[in-house]
Amino acid sequence: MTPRASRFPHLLAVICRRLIWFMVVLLVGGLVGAVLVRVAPGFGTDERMLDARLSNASIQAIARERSGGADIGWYYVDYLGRLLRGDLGTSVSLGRPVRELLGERMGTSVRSAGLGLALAWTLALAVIGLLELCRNPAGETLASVIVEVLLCIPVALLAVGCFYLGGAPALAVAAILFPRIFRYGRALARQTGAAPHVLAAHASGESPWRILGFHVMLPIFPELAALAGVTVNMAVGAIIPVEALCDSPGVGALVWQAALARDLPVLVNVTLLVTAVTLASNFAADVARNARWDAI
Amino acid sequence: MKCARPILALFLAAGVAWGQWGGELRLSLRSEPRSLDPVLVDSDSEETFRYFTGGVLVRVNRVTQQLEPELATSWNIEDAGRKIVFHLRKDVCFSDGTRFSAEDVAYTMQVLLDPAVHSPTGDAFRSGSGVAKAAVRDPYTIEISFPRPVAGAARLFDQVAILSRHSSDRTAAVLGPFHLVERKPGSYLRLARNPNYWKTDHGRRLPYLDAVRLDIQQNREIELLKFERGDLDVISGVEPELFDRVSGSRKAWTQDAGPTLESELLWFNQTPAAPLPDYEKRWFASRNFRLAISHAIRRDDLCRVVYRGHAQPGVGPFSAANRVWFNQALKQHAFDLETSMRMLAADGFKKEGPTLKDAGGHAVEISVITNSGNRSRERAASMIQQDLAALGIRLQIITLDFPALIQRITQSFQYELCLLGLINVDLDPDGQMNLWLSSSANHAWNPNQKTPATDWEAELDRLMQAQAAAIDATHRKLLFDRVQEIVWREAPILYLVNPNALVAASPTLRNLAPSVLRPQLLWNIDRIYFERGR
Amino acid sequence: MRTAATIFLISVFATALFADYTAPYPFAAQFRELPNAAASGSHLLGTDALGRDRLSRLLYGARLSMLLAPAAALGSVLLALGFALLAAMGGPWCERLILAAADLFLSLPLFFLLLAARALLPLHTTAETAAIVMFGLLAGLGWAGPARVMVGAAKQFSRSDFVLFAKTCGHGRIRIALVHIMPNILPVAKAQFLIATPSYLLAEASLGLLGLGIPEPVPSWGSLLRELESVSAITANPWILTPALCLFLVVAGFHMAVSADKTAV
Repeated sequence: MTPRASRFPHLLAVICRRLIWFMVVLLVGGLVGAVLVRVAPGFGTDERMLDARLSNASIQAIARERSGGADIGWYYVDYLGRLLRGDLGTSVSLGRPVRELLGERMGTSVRSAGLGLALAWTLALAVIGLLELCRNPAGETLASVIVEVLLCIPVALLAVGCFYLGGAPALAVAAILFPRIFRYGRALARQTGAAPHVLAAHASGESPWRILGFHVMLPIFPELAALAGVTVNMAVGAIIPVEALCDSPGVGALVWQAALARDLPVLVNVTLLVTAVTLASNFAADVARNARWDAI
Repeated sequence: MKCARPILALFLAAGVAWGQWGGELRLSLRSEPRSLDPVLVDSDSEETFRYFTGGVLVRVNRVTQQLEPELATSWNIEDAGRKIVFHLRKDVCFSDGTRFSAEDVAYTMQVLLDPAVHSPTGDAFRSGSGVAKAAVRDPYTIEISFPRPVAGAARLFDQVAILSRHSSDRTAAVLGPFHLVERKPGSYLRLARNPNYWKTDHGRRLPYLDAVRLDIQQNREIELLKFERGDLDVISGVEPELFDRVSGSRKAWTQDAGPTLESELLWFNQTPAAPLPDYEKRWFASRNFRLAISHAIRRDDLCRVVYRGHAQPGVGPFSAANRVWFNQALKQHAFDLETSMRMLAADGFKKEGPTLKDAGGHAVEISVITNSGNRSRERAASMIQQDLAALGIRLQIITLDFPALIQRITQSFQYELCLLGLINVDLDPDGQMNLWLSSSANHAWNPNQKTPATDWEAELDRLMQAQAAAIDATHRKLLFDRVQEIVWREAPILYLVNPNALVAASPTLRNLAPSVLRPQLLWNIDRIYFERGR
Repeated sequence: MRTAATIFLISVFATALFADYTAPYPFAAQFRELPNAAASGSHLLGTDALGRDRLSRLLYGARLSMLLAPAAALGSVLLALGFALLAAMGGPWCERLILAAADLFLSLPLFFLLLAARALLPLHTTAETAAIVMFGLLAGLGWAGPARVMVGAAKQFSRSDFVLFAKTCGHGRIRIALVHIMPNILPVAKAQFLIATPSYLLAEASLGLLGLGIPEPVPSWGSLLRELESVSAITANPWILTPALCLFLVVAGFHMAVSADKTAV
């Protein structure tokens, strides 16, 4: 038996263990999310309860309707049972199936987050590459100032500002992610750029493009891949306030609306979704950082 | 009752000729409609959608505040106010082509009054002694019977959009000027002209507009940005700050239409079960204490600073905008610190240094809760805080998100003062019935009382029930004037301001006649047109 | 640059701390005849919508924001440090549990905890106490990010030769963690503290924009930044940008300190 062949069952076992762990954490995340919504003040209330036209009987009916899930343990068990059958429940604030609501809005959010990520990464890598090629102190200072300014602007303000400038939510997501990607990426590139093998490459007369591609960017690829995993997580976090403030019809706006209405079915589903994305992206980041399977 | 004043006459009197056809009007809804079912309308956005799509038997003219015939050509009150008979318009079709008749009205009433539906519109037809019933007399005559005389019965039908008994989808067959053609959840609703709308102009069916697009837009700042860019044609209920900003622009036609029926109000928690110290409950139960607070608040400053002059000091349950029911004899509680101090002294309060203390030596430290995110309300709370400091009262401001606030005022009663707004959608006092009846869950300061806690609340109960049953309009007015006087005298709720209706529209729109009643600028949507078709 | 940044931050701290002496007016004083006034001799940065002096509110706001944000950052980093050491001492399962908890903290709707805390405060809680509770919660909830970095660092050091040597010498887990690992990850903790401080300043600003900031009338930089929601107001009254500018300078100061520190590490 070759060493490679003997390693395969071990890897399989590791992956299975990891998947089980992933599921356990996911289920715990969903439960904790549900508990958080349940214990938050205002659970079981509805703005309609203040409508002076409604009779006492109608107000009581609304209160009964909104208190579904008061026993959070049973609610969660029931929810998981329905989840296995593909039923995500019905939103109590919008009165529509959560599956439909998420389906209608997921595309918008994925597009905004994806475009934002792509824009931020493209811009960050381009600026990093340019600075590494030119090594111009004025350029470095200018980039630093822009990055500092972007880091100093609250997310909510950035979202409204991007809208004011005619940008879509993707632009706001990019503005949030770009400085973080740039700062980390630039530090890595600078560190690698000063490494002895790069200096040797310069001394041997290799072209600056080749040095940038093969001696600077390639060695830091695992770190950048790890950062990519983390930025997916950051994009998911950023899309909620951005969509809420820009009134973009995505999942972020839905989550914000559901949070303000204590909409348990929507929030439990979204918590599971976000937890899954977080776990997956952090797992990917860890694997990329360690760049070997025994890390898992 | 038959105050049939043709809408067209109003415009002809104003020198308006017929309009130009075509174009799409774009405006925004401040929240996503929970339901498009006209029976379940509860929020402002749902109300707007129903107004544009629903056909009603009678309509309150938003400018004259008088009832006008729509799908009913006339109506009679019979059996000493226990019955109302509508004579319906003939040759009217729903948007899907089916014919409209009394059967549709009966079906609508049946759905509306179904106890399982819990319709806010339907609840208005209920009383303690039973529910209304509909009976078809002939294909174009319908009779609605009430278990007891109902004074403002015809007005209730302003909110009743007639459903088609043939259509299970309640948005597919409508009688209003527009019908729904497209809905993108969270984004927009698109309405198209109803090809069968019954109103005409020079033989051609109204409305003038081809379509209406309703963008769902919660952020007011972004709404205004879109308006300035020309992406929206109309904004109603503009915030004072934004109104001043847009007023200077030549790209917009703006108007302050005067005080609305809405009120900003402050009330004291008088619930016996409230988790508050007994001495605080005694403060809030004291008329002198409540009035002292009221006289210490500078309402004029609230109007001038918070609302930039676009508001009027509040007096009572209705603002002067309600021409019929406002009690002209009442004036605002004037700012007068001396009166306040005298009233407090009468209850044993005295000022020790900068702090006001009660007879038991407790420093008067109270808190006010309000909803977070409403800038005007938060500013008003800050101003009241400074006003009360002059009396030696320390006021803490607590901002809560809406569900948490609702829980406090309806379930846990863990609050002292509450600052909130009241939106009156009904000109008639019956619309406020649940606010004043002591047994109601919406009796803000002490809800769900088994028996009235005070003599004046018992009197309020009696007067509200009596005015609801009084058929004679003058007698009804006298009864409700008395209600307003008691509220003014006992001050369980302090009416602070009535914000003005501020509207902005594209200068190319014609036939605009802003009203202080909702939907402020678009109440005559079927007759609004663009000067040049777009 | 690092020295200049440090001197600047110290001077901002000092000005904020002595706001009672440096501010021209009390932060809550309303000059109702002068709402939204432009910058003038008597009000150097103009007045806000209620006629309150902007400069005074900026100085008092700095006191709250600049004292509580670093305190909250310190709390988060100490928690993260504790978890990192626990992960280093406890073995792979302990590390996995801590990382899973961190992942959960990064994905759960913890916003509800802030709402719950705001709603659960007693009625007569002062705005200052509410602010302390809010920053306290931010500290308690913000450990996950730094922890993910510090657990990694602790893991790296726990595999190092000197730790292996300490183990063979028979040193206990606690001693190894406190004496051999902690001093080595302290620079990482310090960098995380410097990163977290401005993040909390910005978090408070974001919460202010969403109506969950510090209650009126107590000013914070977050509540002052709410004026910037009205973008056209900025062009009409450019001085309302001052809080944003101050925030930028302070955050830039912190970032300069971090950069310098990272180089040193």
